[in-house]
Amino acid sequence: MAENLYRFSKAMIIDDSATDRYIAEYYLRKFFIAAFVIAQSSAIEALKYLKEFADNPDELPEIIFLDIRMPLMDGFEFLREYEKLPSSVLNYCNVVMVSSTIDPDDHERIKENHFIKYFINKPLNKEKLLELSAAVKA
Amino acid sequence: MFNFTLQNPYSFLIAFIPALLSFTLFFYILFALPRNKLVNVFALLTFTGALWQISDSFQRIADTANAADFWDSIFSISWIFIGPLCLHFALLYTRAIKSNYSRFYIPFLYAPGFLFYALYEMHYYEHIFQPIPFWGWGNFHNQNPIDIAQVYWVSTLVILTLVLLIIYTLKIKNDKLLKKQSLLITIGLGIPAVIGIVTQAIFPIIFHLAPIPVTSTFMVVLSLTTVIALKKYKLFSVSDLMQNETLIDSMPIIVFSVSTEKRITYMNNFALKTFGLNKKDISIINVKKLFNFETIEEEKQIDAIFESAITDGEIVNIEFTLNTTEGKRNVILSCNPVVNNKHVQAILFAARDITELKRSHQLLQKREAMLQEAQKLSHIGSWEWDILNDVVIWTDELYRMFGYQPGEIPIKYETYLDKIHIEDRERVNNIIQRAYLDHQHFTFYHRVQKNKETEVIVYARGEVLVDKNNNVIRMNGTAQDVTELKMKEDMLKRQNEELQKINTELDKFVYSVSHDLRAPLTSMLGIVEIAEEETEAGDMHRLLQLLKSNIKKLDKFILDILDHSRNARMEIKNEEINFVEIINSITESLNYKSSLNERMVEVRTNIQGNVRFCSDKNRVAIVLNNLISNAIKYADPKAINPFVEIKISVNDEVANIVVEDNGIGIDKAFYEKIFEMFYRASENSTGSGLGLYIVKETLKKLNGTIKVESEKGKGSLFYVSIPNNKQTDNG
Repeated sequence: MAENLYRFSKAMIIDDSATDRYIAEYYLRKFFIAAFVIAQSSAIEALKYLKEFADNPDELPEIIFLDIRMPLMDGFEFLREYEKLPSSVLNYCNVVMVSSTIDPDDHERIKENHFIKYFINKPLNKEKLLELSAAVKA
Repeated sequence: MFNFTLQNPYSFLIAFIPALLSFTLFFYILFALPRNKLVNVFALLTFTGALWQISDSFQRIADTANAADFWDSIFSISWIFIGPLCLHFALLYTRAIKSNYSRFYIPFLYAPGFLFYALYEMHYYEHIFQPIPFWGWGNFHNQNPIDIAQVYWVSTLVILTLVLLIIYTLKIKNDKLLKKQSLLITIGLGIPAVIGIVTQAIFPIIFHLAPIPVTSTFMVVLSLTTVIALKKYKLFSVSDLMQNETLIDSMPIIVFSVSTEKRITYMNNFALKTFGLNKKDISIINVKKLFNFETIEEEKQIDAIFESAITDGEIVNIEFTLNTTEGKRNVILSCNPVVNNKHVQAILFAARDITELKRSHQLLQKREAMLQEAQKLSHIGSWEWDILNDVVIWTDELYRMFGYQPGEIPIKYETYLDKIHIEDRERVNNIIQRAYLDHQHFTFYHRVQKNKETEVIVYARGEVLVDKNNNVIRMNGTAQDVTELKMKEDMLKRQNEELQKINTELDKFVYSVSHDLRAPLTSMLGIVEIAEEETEAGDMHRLLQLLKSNIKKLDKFILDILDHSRNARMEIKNEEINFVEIINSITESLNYKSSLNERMVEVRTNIQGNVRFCSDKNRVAIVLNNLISNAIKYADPKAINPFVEIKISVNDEVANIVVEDNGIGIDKAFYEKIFEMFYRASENSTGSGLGLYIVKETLKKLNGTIKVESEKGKGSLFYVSIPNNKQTDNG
């Protein structure tokens, strides 16, 4: 019941910075965007999770906030592996890229990748998240 | 004496009518033929003939023998001198004896005539006049030996004349007209000669018959035919027609003659003018003054020429210099000994001015040398291919370029192809074949195997020449050794590529650095905003606000540095600019609240002009961003409705942007300084000092301008113009 207040039941945040994960979680909960936030500190771990719960939509996040710059596997590399996931995941999850990048190359790659539904600049704030969730929900 | 008895008029008329005709011919000759020795003698001959005819006509109808004798004596000179005159004429006509010797034969020719005439007039022997049936009185020359000798003399001369003319006519092989002329004259003489000798020499003297005095009548045949021959076939040569001196006198060539004692005896008008002399001075002048001697050798040369001309009659042509009124002139000098009477009488000098010719020849040589030098220095050779005769001409530099000594071997198209690198041969041949067909200019590069070790790169160009029937006559062009150039070009290309690579790497580095600098800042900002949300307490709130503003300041600084770096290094990328879009995204991302005035600053835009505007989008955005954010930042705290107005008008050449605000304004003293790096014109400034510096640098890169007008306390106007690059749109 409490879950109906929230726009999404589950959201995932993939970011190596603890601060940024904290900020994301704070806003998602505070403004009733997501009931539950799956925090992943590495893209590899995130893929493992998605693979594991591929057939379990209850455990899958409706929205995935993906950071670009991460050690070991960055956001784009994650997306290459993400494409190979079963369609049950691809059809259910929506990827939103989050970054403080101003590199126009990054912006190009983001535009070209059709798995990325939205892009927001850090830092996250209320307005951006509300706007974003409306766009994703539609 | 003056009584005439006409037994019959015919004997008179047969002589008189020809006489009239002869006189007419005589005057005609004087009028219609050119006057030279030949014609003069012929005229005299005709006149003499006429006199003889008059003599005969009156003689025949005289009253008495004495009267006949009288008339005969008056005109006898005519028939006595007919012989020598005929022979003289023939000698002149056939040019049998050189005119040098004329002074010899003329006296011998005529002298006996005078003797005979004297004796005849003196009546040394009796003149026998008897009536001849039909004819009247006739002279019978058959008694006295002197009389007979006289007749034989005249006859011999006439026979000689005839023989001379016959031989001459037969000798003419090639000249058809001359043969016709000569034949006519020969016949013209032959008729009266034969008839005359038979009727008036042979009949009376050998056969003791009455003479038939028809010779004089038939003389007119000679006059008539010769006039026709000379007039119809006018074969007179130059020396027959002109006084030699008038010809030479007027020629534009220097002619002067010098005696063997080195005295100038003749100088034509042109020479007189050239040397600046008068006719009366020439014999006094030292002939050596005319020649220009640079060295003793040259003077000796002229002396030697002189000597050999006098002693050996040697004709010499040399190049020399003469002293003229216009200074030294180069001439071709011709030295001809004039031989007369077996001795060299004078030396004839003729000189043709070749100064200009020499000058242009030297100039040509110099130009040739310069061209050679130029070709050598720039490693360009020229070639020409005469296609009709398949002759190829190469300049020296081209030979060297292909690894030959200049002129070492004759060049054919095949030789050329052989030297081309085997991989390029087909391509080159195709290009040239195509040019032959379509007559277009062509350029191409190819490699040449200069020698075993060296390969060069040649840049060749050529054009095709066609005649008016569109057939190819020849091809010509140049070829340049561009090996060095190509190497430098390649090196430059490589350096450029490397620089680009370095630039890209630097870009990536800058982004990475800036990203890593900014990431913690954005995180910090996020935390501060959360803390702000959770805190109501005034102090904490205030502290958090200060923290936030510092974070933002640092972030802005990093972004500014990034902008500055990108403006300096990145290429201009032209695309169509939508000002509305840019300004909107600026206002979205900006904080509307100024630092001093809690009221919202109103942002107004006014965009005019339907013309497309193209420029570098990022840079235009940077300019507008900085100006607008400045206007907001420095709004007047005391102003009731602070605003910033952006007026943009676009035309084909430029976009004029005016950013106007009613903020705190800038003192005139700081107009220049505000554009300096890190300069802030107000104590209240919270900016980095980079904003306007970046704007100025960015506009410089775009070839735009900026100007400020401001009054402290009233507001500011920034006038910006950016060129419209709509022709070079590569977006």
